Amino acid sequence: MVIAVNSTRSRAHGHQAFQPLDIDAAHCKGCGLCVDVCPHHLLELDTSVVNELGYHPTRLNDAAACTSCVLCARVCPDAVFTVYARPKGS
Amino acid sequence: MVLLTTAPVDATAQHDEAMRPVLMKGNVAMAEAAIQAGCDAYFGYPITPQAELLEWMARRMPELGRVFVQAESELGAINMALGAAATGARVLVSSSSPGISLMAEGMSYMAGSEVPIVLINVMRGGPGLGSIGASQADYFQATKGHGHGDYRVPVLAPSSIAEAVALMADAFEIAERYRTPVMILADGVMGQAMEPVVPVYRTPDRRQAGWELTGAVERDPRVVRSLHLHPEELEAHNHHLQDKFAAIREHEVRWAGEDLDDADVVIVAYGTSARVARTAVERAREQGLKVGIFRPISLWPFPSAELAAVALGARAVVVVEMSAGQMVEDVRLALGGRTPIFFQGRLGGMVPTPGEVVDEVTRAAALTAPHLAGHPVAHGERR
Amino acid sequence: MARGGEPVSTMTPDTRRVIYERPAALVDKSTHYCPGCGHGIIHRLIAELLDEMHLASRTIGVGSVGCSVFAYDYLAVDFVESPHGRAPAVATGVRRVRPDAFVFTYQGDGDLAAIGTAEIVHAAARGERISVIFVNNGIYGMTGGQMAPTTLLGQRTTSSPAGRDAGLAGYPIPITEMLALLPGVAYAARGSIADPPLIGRAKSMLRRAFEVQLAGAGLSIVEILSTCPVGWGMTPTEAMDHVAHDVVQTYPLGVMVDRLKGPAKGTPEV
Repeated sequence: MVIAVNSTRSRAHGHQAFQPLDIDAAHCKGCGLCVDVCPHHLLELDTSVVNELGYHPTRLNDAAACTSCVLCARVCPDAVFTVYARPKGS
Repeated sequence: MVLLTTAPVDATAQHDEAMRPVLMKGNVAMAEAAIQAGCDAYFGYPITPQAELLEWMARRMPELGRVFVQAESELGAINMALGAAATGARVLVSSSSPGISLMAEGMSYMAGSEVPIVLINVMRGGPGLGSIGASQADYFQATKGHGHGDYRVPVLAPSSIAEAVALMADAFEIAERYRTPVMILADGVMGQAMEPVVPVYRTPDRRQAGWELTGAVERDPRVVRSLHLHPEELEAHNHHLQDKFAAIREHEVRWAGEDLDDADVVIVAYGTSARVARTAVERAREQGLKVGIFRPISLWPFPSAELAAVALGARAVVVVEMSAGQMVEDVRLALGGRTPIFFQGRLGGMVPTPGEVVDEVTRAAALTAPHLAGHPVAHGERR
Repeated sequence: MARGGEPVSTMTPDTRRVIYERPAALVDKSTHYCPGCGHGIIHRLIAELLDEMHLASRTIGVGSVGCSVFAYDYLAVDFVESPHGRAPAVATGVRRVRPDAFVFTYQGDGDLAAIGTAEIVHAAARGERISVIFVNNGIYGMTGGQMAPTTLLGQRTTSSPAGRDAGLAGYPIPITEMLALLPGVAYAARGSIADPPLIGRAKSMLRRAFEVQLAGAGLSIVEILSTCPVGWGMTPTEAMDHVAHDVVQTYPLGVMVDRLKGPAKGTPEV
């Protein structure tokens, strides 16, 4: 089990692909509402991680398929999502 | 410690126009005194014997562009007061005994949240619906905190309408200085009677102490609350409240004395009972008894040390109350058994007569006469 | 930039265009609410509106007693705690002495529809210019899941273990419909948070309620059907479904009255 402080840190590898979501995994309570609501089924609770609150935080599985529809952010009771507009051509 | 005298206003003396006494009903005088002290908002509910206070406010406050609300109940009124006072407004609420019981919850919340208001209780007979006559049976309720939790509330007990007017500004000042609700304990006689009042009032200064809810413009948000869920946090908060009460005990004791210098028997009474006692003292002195009055004006903090000092010179204390005996317990605590205590009370909204008080004083004097020194003395309390 | 996060790369500046981020009026702090609790969503909607309508710095929030008693820790505005049920009276006091403030109460079903019925009815009757946010999850969460005035018939709670029986415990109270009868109520609506479109509609209702207050039209109340997954013994997803399909049968959604737009059908003109 990995205790994640913040899942965005795990992406700081100089990756250049567009990330449509920042997820504050430290404050996620693993309620799963975003998993249900995503129309492309791109979100999943990461059972390999337990955050400091004791939950499996949500994780975006395929950033390229995300359309930034904001439904996950609209349903999140803990406001863990920041959603970015996909730039043209990415 | 503040020593006041309560000589009645001399209506026949020469006064210029502004100083000419006006005949005022107690409820109205208290309302006007609060208005003159800068009261921003009044919340109340009709209940006898203080309805005239609410009615005066209903007329005057809108005239002055200030806030008046007749609430749906005393529960509504005290909570409106909590909200208004939390924003820093100067707030008055009034009621009578059964309504005060409904306000006990609000008083506890205001004590815990440190929100200042002035609350006037024009006491009537109880318990329950009781009667509409004057009473002093809410002493315990007032001085032991009304509601749940470890707190006290300063309680001021005027014994004349003029004194009620004078104490109003003090009440607001104490409330704001210490961030606490303050109670003025009056009774139905005082509320309904009419007495001369010199219409000279005092308006305490305003202060912005930095806790008021005014909208978080260019500052961090503020919260007014009494909830401190962590036990250590609540303990610390309660210690803070206790420190405040200690400061109030040190600085806000008020009492008055008359004819105490040579008194063998000291009457202890407050409010309307003290008025009766004054007449009793005059009559007793005519009969050759050396009697004086110790009149607490602050019921909390109770002038215990001051009473103990005065009682040292006396051979008996007679406590007079319009109740089965509530202040008498604080008198007992103060005297520590050093002086015999006698009690004269009337229950259920009846007012003791001067004759009854003189009888008890006479009995106390007889039972504690010097030739009986060394013999066991019966403590003459009724209970 | 994401809250609590670093840029994706420390080498290049973050040029991504934000289309949704955590509202500023929501304090950056984990809430004590259970996973999937509706309070989190509703707090967030309020915070979004306070930001969008530039109200935060003149807001005085009035809290209540229930799971949401700590709302003052999560919304970055001046706040006063109320005794249980008394929030509309406390808000009345605030509003009367602070005519320029923006005042809302945030109350649960026990607070508003049980112990606080007198206070809300009379604040509504007086037409106090406050916005009442009424979170209805049909249960008493904070005290361990007891029956509420809005608990559904047949619903099991810790104080109706055999299911709510009308003969013993009466019927769920449609308090918002009752309040909508009063001329002092300028706006009364019921929304839900059962899915994102409904969350969006609930936010519109809250926005309208806030506008009604700012217009000085009277009391505005928005009841929001919410979830208590732990109290209901459901997963957050099941709880949302329960609201979407079952609770709305007893508590239909919609705007009951919007007096700024015109009188409610069937109510007398005053």
